[in-house]
Amino acid sequence: MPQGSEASETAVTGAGAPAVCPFPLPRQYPLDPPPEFARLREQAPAVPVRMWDGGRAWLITRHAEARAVLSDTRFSSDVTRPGFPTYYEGQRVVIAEAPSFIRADPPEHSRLRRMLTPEFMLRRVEAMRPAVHETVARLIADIKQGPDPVDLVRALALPLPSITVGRMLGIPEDEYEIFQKLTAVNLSRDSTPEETEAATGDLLAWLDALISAKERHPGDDLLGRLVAEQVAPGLLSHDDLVAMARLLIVAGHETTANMLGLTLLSYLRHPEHFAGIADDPQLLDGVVEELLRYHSIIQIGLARVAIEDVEVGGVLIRSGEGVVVSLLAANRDPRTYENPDEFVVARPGAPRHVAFGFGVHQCIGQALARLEMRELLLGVVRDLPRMSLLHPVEEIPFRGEMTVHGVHELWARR
Amino acid sequence: MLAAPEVFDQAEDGLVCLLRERPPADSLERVRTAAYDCPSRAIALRAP
Repeated sequence: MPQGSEASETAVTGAGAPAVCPFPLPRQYPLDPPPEFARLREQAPAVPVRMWDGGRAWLITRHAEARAVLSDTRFSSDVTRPGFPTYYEGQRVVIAEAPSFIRADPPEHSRLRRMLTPEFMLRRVEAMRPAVHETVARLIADIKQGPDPVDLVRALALPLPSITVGRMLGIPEDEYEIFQKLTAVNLSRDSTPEETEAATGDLLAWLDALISAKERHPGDDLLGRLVAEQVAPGLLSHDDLVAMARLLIVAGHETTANMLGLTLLSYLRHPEHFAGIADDPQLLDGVVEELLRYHSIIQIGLARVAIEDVEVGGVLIRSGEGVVVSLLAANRDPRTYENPDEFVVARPGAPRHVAFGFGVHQCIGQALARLEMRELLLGVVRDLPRMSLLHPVEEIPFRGEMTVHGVHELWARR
Repeated sequence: MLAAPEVFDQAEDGLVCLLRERPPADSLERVRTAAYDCPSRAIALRAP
């Protein structure tokens, strides 16, 4: 397919084919995908869409093809390659400022990621449970002493992952306030592009100083271990560690915070689904997986570019063509899930969702995300049993315009 | 490891390790799930 700006929507595949949709597409109901997704998913396993700069990309909307593309190394994650789709002007610059392994391909990707794999493996994350439990308890205790009604985003959904990732990375307690301030700008809808860019610069500068301090005195934390085991022997540069730290902070913070906000929303809308979770670990696990599937917070999609000709579900994608894998569409695929647009706690035998992606880039922090979701739910069910939503869904401000879906505010009566 | 912890585990470096090369018949469903879920496609099932 030709790249470049085309002013009008024209059929790419020939006479009678539908016009090419602009992408991304807006939602109508905030908890459901854009209505066009269902039609596009029926149309073909890969459909052409038009990006902000007029370039074309293939949109993948089905669960099976999403898994196939994301686990196929003929699709590259390298944003600098020609044809790599971006969602807005300046996205390439933001990424290039501190490129991390999320934008790398094997073998470089593998080399960098494996430095972190032990930190995020299941056993290590399970060991964090008491600390996460304690943080949840403390935040809930503060809520009980604080104002009523309360914004649960500010009081619970944001601070839990912030404190958790800060503890994990080894951010000194006296730097927490700065850390929270620097990361908050990214998450605020009131931030202008200039403010976000400035905040990114400030965050990188602050991380640079923090990591330099750790190079002098590495402690017993993730950053300290990476300094001692990778930077000191020359396996990882200082700048690459700064980029890695920034990735972990953004990924461990923004994504989890929004998933926790939506978790609380789902819980408050239908507390009856969650009633037995304290006594039934399998139920709790099922609830967590269904929350992940239903909300699919990476709402635009995962971008890739083909580096060879590849056939996907019978559609030929040529080398150099961009691909966007919609996790949201794939997780609502009726071929994979019965009543996909409903929140159904028990889906026995259902294939695993792709909310964390798939392939070698699948979210490294997923065990930690699940742990935070579990502990948060257990805490609110136990300690805030009479909590209720202040507003109906229609009046809650959602982050429809951001890369990561969520709620800006979630007011509740405790 | 989530799907079939008696068959798969994670070594200290985080890479998957196989505990039982021939899993028992009653774990077959869960081993299939583990193979399906494995994001790096590190697990393959072969008939004996």
